Order: sequence, then structure tokens, then C-alpha cells
Amino acid sequence: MTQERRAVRWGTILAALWLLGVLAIVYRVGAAAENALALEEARSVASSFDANQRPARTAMRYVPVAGPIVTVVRTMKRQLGPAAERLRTEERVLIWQTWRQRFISLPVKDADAWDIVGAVVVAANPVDMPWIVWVVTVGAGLLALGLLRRGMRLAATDRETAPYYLVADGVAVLAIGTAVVAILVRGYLQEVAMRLPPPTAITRFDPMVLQLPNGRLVALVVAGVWAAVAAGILGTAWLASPSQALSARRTARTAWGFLAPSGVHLLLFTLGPLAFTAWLSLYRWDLLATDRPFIGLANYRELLRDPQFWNALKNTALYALYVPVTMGLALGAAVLLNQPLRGIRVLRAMVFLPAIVSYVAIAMVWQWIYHADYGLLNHVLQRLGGTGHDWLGDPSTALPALMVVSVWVQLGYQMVVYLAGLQGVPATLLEAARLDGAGSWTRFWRITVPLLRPVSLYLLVTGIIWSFQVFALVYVMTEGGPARSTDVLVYQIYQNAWEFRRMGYASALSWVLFALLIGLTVLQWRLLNRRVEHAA
Amino acid sequence: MPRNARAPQMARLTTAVAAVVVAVLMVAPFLWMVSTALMGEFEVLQYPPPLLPASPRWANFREALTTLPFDRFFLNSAIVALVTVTSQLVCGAMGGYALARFRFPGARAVFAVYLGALMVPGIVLLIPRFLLVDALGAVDTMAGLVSAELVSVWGVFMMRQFFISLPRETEDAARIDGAGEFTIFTRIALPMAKPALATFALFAFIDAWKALLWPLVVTRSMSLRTVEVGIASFHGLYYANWPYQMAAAVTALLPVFAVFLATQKYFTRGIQLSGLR
Amino acid sequence: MKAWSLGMLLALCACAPDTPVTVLRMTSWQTPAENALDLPAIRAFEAAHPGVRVENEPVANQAEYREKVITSIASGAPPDVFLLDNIDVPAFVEASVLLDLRPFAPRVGVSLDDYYPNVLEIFSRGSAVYAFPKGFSPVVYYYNRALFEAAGIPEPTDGWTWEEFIAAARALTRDTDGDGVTDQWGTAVMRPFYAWQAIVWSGGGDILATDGQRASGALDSPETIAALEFLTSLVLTHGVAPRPNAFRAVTGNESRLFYSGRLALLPSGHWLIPNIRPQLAAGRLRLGVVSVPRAPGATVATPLFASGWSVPRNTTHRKLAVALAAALAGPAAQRERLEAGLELSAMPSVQDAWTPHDSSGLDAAFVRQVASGRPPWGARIARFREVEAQLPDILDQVIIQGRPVAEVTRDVARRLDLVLAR
Repeated sequence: MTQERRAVRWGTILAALWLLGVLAIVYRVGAAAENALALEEARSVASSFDANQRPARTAMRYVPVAGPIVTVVRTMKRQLGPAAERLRTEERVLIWQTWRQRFISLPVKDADAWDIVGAVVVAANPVDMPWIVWVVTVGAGLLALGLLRRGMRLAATDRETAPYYLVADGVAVLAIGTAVVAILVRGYLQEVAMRLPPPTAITRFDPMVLQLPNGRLVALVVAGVWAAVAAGILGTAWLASPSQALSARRTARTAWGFLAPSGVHLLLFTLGPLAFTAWLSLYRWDLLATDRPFIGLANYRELLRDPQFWNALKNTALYALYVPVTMGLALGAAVLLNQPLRGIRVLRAMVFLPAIVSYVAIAMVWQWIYHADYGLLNHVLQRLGGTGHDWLGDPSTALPALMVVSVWVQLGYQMVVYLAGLQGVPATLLEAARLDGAGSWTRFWRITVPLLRPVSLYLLVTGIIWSFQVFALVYVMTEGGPARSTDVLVYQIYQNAWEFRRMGYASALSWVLFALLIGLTVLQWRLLNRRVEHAA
Repeated sequence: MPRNARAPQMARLTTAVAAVVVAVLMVAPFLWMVSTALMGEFEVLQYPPPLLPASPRWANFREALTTLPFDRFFLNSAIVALVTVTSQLVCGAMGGYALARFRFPGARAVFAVYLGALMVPGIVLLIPRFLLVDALGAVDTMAGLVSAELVSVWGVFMMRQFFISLPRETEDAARIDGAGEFTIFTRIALPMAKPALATFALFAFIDAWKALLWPLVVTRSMSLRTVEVGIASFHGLYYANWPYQMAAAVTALLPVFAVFLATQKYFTRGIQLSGLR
Repeated sequence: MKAWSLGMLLALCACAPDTPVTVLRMTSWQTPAENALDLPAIRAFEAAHPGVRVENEPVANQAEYREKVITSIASGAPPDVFLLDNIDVPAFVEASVLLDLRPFAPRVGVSLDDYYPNVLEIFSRGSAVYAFPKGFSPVVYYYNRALFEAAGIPEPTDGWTWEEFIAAARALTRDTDGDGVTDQWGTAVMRPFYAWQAIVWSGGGDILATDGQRASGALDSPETIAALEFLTSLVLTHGVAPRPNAFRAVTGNESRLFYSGRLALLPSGHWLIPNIRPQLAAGRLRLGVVSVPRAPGATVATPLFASGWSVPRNTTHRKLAVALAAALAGPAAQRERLEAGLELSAMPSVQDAWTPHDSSGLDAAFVRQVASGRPPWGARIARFREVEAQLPDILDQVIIQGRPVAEVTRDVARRLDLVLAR
């Protein structure tokens, strides 16, 4: 019974949340539209107003207040609050939200458009959304509420039917309601836009203009509210359903609870933006431009045809090979520095140093080591009877040279992870093996390495991802040269996104990189994880 | 007999020598940083670059750190690091534990999504994240500065891997005794994961401390800048004041180093104990 | 439009007895040392405008600076005044981000005739002016006078030819310790385009057609090929320049060699001087400045790299922002920067008054180059960053991979045509 009551309560709360969320969005959109209309009104007053002449009080519905701006500010203070001082200094449209009313103020300039000589303040209409929007929202909300309560009650008692099925009608009403509201709001926005001058490239960055809310964005937000609520309802129904074993239900609830904090952030700060870049990749999109045309898959076509993309892809793949090398060395270093030696802690810290030193310093040191004339490496080679080489100047050695630096940077990082992992190797197991006569080498390969597999998998997967994504070294050491031999994909993404302001193309590149990484990781997972599960 | 007795000693000696050689190799750039930090402004630019300053110029440190309000920068960095590390630890441990321990419908899908999020090229998220933080009105605030890194998917993944490699018998025993899931997590799982948590904290701290692009884009005012942004400001397009930059960078390194030394004992203590036993 | 309930019209006279604090935000890409030069102008501005506080937020790295400015303008919270580099002018103008300052110049006491016309041109489109120029520099060759004296050859003169340049560089390239390795170089060939734009122009060629829409016909023209052959021959045929490396400019070899007196002729701009002032003052480096060499029959032309103070159109303190931009680009501020040796003043009157007092003695030679100065390509077309990113490839492919110049320029020109067409 408690189960049932709890399910109904949660279903009600979620449906109410939907209602409130949609109402709030509709209200905000309506208010923004009314503000824009009020500004238009203010503009027409301002244009008919001669700064040297008091406007006539005749047929206008305004109350003109002439006199020094200071006095007026004082009069307005009661309505606008102490911030009314801003009227005198700020050259932009201001929105004043008091608890009862919204005011829009438009500064009035002198004939040379130089000094602020006054301001037109207009009270905006209360939100004038078509009544049908409210009816649909409230109606759909109430209807869904009833259906959901019934569905939830059934889900908590019915042993046979799938819980989703029982709340489906309620969820469907919410979905239809959401769609209708989104369409109506968009229609309303279009209607308002008709009454306003059309936006141009100039108005985009004009502080004397209020932008109407973007209809598509509003629809997206409303859909987001719906999706979140629907997921909540379905989840609640599922949890409430007795066809699930009690323990499974409890486990699921606990798991979701544990995942919630990271999940919400992930959704907001990674998956949302990621979806946004997917959309961007179909456009020619510049943060500054007003004109952002839809170009379909042209960005992808362009990159596939670009030999520099393929070259960067090849370099990226080759560059990633440093990861397994580093892992081997890091495991060696971890075992080596795992001894209870005097001063070992200092040694460990020293090995870790490159991971925290600034990239600029790393670049300087390694340029010095690799230098053709005075470089340390050539010096040593010549001592040993070899010949010098311009390591970073030769396209065939530049990338390997960078890989060596990467190994050196990442070594400490990976060593620390292995050190921590080594602690998870039970000493009893090693001791037992030793008593069985296994040598230290055998113990290392037969016990330590297999037990470290999850850690190794982590290092490999994240290391490869890291190697595909980090370009700081390239950026500070070679900028992709010589002859594009160190040009990698992320560097191209960075250049396109920021230097060339081709956000659409950069997004397309990122999606290709993203797809590649997913493919690679699945492959690694398939190959290695089976053994990991076995070992664990 | 004497051969047997000497062999481990020889092994110990060689490992010790190898360890020292590796460590010296690793420490070179740091020494270079210190050396540069003590050089004259022009001395750095000689050909070939000098290894040591002709006469150490300690004033570089004082001058570099007072040219800009570095005290404020350090405070900001500390706040950012503290908040993000705490949040990342909490979220990462919880998420990783859930993914490692619980079997529930959709678990595989959730894990795939987390793993997928790991692969998103971070550089391309900068603009969308900025637009988001801007929409939330948090640009140029401490909240905006911290917001993007409150959760680290790397951390979740790392904690999952560690929890998988830990034995789960103790947890199951507690579960049979009727302990709540949250209690099991905080009382049993977390203490066992201390080394992983310490490692994670270390990495999270370094990432937070060294972040450059996000703090730069999302803050405007001087009073919200972090140390790394401050250091970067000695490095212009045509002109870099290397000694100042390195003096500031060496100073900024000290907290990271301290954190390393502080966390080190957690991820190595157990090993030493088992070695002594 | 029913029910407009209440409206108020406030009018006349902005005189204010009790002044609230207005905050003006400005930003620039400057290191702390450079930024300090603006402080007197800022303080003076604050003193002249009671109730106004200027918040100065410099960012040193130019790439990061752009990111910051672009995002802040796009989010509707721009700085009120910001430093605009010549390479960002076309894109910012096309996006209608900037305020046309010309109508307001008289109100803030600026006469646009006070600037060098070819510097002002960089920031102008039609009659509109989008920044008050702060300072600029042509690209020149610095030469080490001590090395010229030691080699016993006369110092170069403006308008010298490629042949004269090669002859001098050969005489200056030496193996001082006789170990078979060159220790002293005649000159340097640097990969970044800004360092060799002037050579191409002074050979009568160019990298893009006049309208900036195509590279074919310009980059692969006989004049441009000749210029690039001259440039690469310095490394390949004559061996008077070290092989260019891909290091970033600030960590680059060439400047190190030059500072250490082991490289005689270095292409660069005025921005080099703050790096070497102490050396100049101590007499450890004795330098001269000469024009880039030209092809026989061609005239010298060099890019003018300039920056200026701009006001974004969506600033909320337009009037004050314009006044601040004017103050930052005013004669007093320009003089301040001259004394630090960062760049030439964008105002001939200020520059001419200063030149006799210049302790480095190089400014006079710099000013002589201004007449042959042109706006760089970056100030003319919006896609130039993409073009510029392809140009070092030419040197790489010729010098490192040994391909013929004509072939390489044809390939790169084709690629640039595609870049410019998309």
C-alpha cells in the first residue's frame, strides 16, 4: 500500500512539475515578446519627440514628464527602484521588472546622437499570450495528472502488465500537450515578429534593440522539460511495479541515486553541448555572424576530400602509439619505485615532475635537447661515434621526437596510477606464490600483471583518448610543422574553431574524431575486457 | 652462501642506481625552470641558451609576483581547486561505485554513455559550454568558473576500474547483515578505495590548478583570474619575459608538489606495509 | 497594442550633481609591461571624467585574447573598449560588431587627419573608421653593424637589391672556429608569412589577386616565384641562412642567433626593440635598420602591422567608450609608448617630435619605411588566417622536401583558391 501511495505521489509531483515548467516558459516568452512590442512603442514616441519641445499631451496615452533628468529619475525611483540612476548613463534598452509591472526604457539622444538627453519609459503590457495556450497547457496537465494517477496505482498493484503500458496514456497526453504548446508559442512569436521591424545584421549587436526569443530554442527547451518529466514518470512506474523483484528495484534506485550527481552534470555540460555541436556541424556557423546557413553534410564532404585531414589523421594514429610504450615503462617505474628504499618518496616525486611542469618549460628543454647544433642528444651521439641530426627539423623524425616527449610527460602520471593499483594486489597471494617456489619474475607476470588488468585497461583507454585530444605539446613545440608532419586532428579542430572561426567545420571534425575514438575503444574493450572480467 | 647473500644486495644497488638515473632525467625541465627564473631578462635569449645564470637574480621572484596581484590569483586557484576536487571526488566515487557494483537495467547503456563522454574532444565543447554558462548568467562569476569541471568522467571511469579490482566479499557480508547501501559505500567501499581516491584527488587538483582556456574565456575581471592565467600573461605575441614567467610558474608548482607529497602516502603506504611484513 | 498603461517621457539636460560610479571595461593583448604604458592615459581619463572607473583587463596571448573578445561580444557583454589587431578588422567589420568612430571623432577632439593615412586606411572601410590607431610597425631588416664592420663591407642602404643582399650575406656568413660548421650567419629565413610578405611585394609579386578572391595568377606568377626562389636560395644555394625550423617565434633560433651577434640580417618589426633595449643601451649590440631588398626594377613595399582602440557596437556606454578609445590613442599615450620603444606612433606629428630623442637611433630609419608601407592582407580579407596557415608550407616543401618553387606555388595556389571559394 505504501508502495502504491508513493508511486501516485511521485507521478503527481512530476506531472505538476511539467505543468509549472511549461507555464513558466510560456510566461517568460510572452513577457519577452511584450517587452519587444513596448520598445517599439517607445521608439515611435522617441522619434516624434523633439528634444527642445515639450510633447503635447493631446491624444497620446503617455504621461510626459519634462524637466531635468535628475528630477525625473527621482520621480521614477518609486517605480523603478534605486537603479533608476542607470537611465542617465546607460546607452541601451533597459528592462525594469517590479513585482507588479515591467517597464522598458529607451534612451533619447541629441541631434548628433551623442549625449543622452532623456529617456522614454513605457510600461509593457501584461503577458498577452493567446488564451488557447493556457487552456491547452492547463487542460493537458490536469488530464495527464488524472491518467497518471490511475496508471501509477495500477502499476503498483498489477502483476502482469508492463508498467510503461499503464502510464503510457498519461505520458502521451503530456507529449501531445507539449507539442501543441510549442507550436502555438512559435506561431505567437511569428505573429509578434510581424509587428516588429525585421532583424538585420545590424540589429544583432545593437544595444537599442530587444531580441525576440528564438522560437526553435523555446521549442527545444519545452521538449527538454517534457523528456525529463517523461523519463521520471516511466522510471517511477517501473520502480513502483511489483513485477520487479524488490531487491532489483532497490538496487536500481540506489544505482540511479549514486549516478545522479555526475549524470546531471554530464547531461548539462557534455552531452547537451555535444548534441549542439552535432547540429552545428550541419551549418556554416560563426559565433559573430548573423547569417548561419544550413549546408547539410558539406562540412563532412569537405573534410573527407581534404588531404590535410587525412594527413592529420595519419599523424594522430601514429602519435597514439606512444601510449603502450609509456604504459610498459610506467609499470616498470612503479615496480621499481615500489621498493622500501630510503628517499624513495623523493624519487617518486621527481618522476612525477614532468606531469606537472608547464608545457612551455617542457618545450624549451626538449628543443634544447633536440637542437641540431648544440643539442644534448646530438652531442651524446657524436661522442658515441654517430652523426648528428636535426630531429625536429626533419619531417620523418619530428613526430617520433614529439612521441618521446609525450612518453616522458605521461610516465609519472601513469606510474602513479600503477602504484595505486599495486596496492590492490593482495600480499597474501604473492606470499603464497613465493612459498610455492615461484620466482619474483614469475610472480610479477602471473599475479601482479593479471591483477592489474583493470588498471591497465583504464590507462590504455584513457591514454589513447588523451593522445587523440591533447595538442598542447604540438602547439608549443612545432605548430604542426615541419611540412605538416606533426599536424594532428585536435590541432585542426582548435584552429578551425578559434583561429578561423569555422565552428561548423570544427564540429564536423570533432564528430569524426569522436566516432573514431568510440570505434577504437569498443575494439580495445572487446579485445581486453574479456580477460579483465576473467581476472577479476 | 655468500653469493646468495650478495645477489639481493646487488639487485638492490642496481635498482637504486636505475631509480636515481630515471629521476634525474625527469627532473631536468624543473631545474631548467628554476635556472631560467634566476636569469636576467636577456640572458635567456642567448645562443646557445645558457644552462645556469651568470649570477642568480632572486629579485625576479619578487618582481614577477608583484607585477600582477598574484596573491589574489592564488586564492582564486585555491578556491577553484578545492571546490572542483571535492565535487569530483564525491561524484566520481559515487558514480564509479554504482557502475562497478550494481547490476540494473540500463547499466551497460549508462556506462557506454559515460565512456562515450570521455571521448568528446574537449576543445569543441568550449563554445557550447560558454553559451550555456552565459544563458545561466554565470559568466564572470566564481560559479561559472567552477561549473564546467564539477564532474570528471575520467574520475568516474577510474573509480569504476578500481572498485572492480577490489574484492566485494566484505560489502556482501555487510549487506547480509542488513546495512544500508549508502552505509556500505561510505563505511566499507570508500576506505578500501583510499589509494584510488588519493590518486584521483591528485589528478583532479592538477587539472584544476593548470586549467587555462576555460578560466580565461569565462572570466573577465582581474579579481577572478587564476594563477595559470596570470602566468600566461608574461607571454606576449612577440615578446616573452621568460624569467618572470618561470619565476611565477615555479611558485605555482609548489602547491601541486605539496599535494603530491601529501597524497603520496595514501597510495603507497599499503605497499610499504606489505613489503615489510 | 491595447492597454499601454503608463508611459513616461523624460527629457532634457544631463547635468548631474550626485554622480554614480560608471564602470568602463577595456581589454587588450599586452604583457604587464606593455599594459603599464596605458596606465597614465587611463588615470588622466578618470581624472577628466569624475564618477567613471576604468577596469583594465589585459590578456597577454593574442590567440586567447581573441577568444575572449569574440565570446564576450557574442554574449552581449562586451568590453567597452578593446584593442583591435589589423588581422581582425575584416571579420569584425563584416559581422557589424564595431562602431563607426568617424562621426564621433570631432566630439572627442580627434582629428583623423592627424594619423598616417596608410595606417588609418587599415582600420577604414569607405568613410567609416573602426579604430583609433595606437601604433604600427613596418617590416624591415635589422642588421648588426659590428658584423658588417668586421667583414669590411659597407652598411646596406634602403632600396638595395637582391643581388646586393646576397653578396652581403655571403660575406657575413663565416665559420669562425674552422670546424667546418657555420657559426655566423648572413641572414635568416623564417617560416611565418609576416616575415617574408615584404620580399614578395618588393619583387613585384603578391600572394593573392588584387580583389583577394583568388591566389592563382598571383602566387604562381613569375614575380612571386622569383621572390620565393630568392628567399629559398638563401638556404639552399648560398647557404647564408640556417634551415628554418618549426619552433614558435618566441622560442625561435633566429632571434637567439641575432641577439648573440651571430646573425647579421634579421627580418622583423619594431616590436623587437623592447627585447633588446638594455643591450642597445649598454652598447653590446649595435644595430641598424634597412628596407627589405627588392628585385631589380621593382619598388620596395612592406606591410604595416597596426593595432588600434575599438568600441564594440553593443557597448552600453558608447559616449564614454569613444572618449576612452580616443584618450588611449591620443598624443600623450602615443608618446608614452614611443618612449618604451614598442612601435612607431600612428601620428606623424608625435613621431616626428620624438625621433630626434630616440636613444636607439633606429626610429629615423623606421620612419623612412612608412612611405613604402601597405595594409597587410590580413587587414583586407576576412579569411586571411586560413590563407596564412597554408603559406609556411611553401618554404617547407621547397627547402625541406626539395620541390621546385613553381610546382609548389601552383599547388598551394590551387588549395588557396578552394579556401577562398568556400
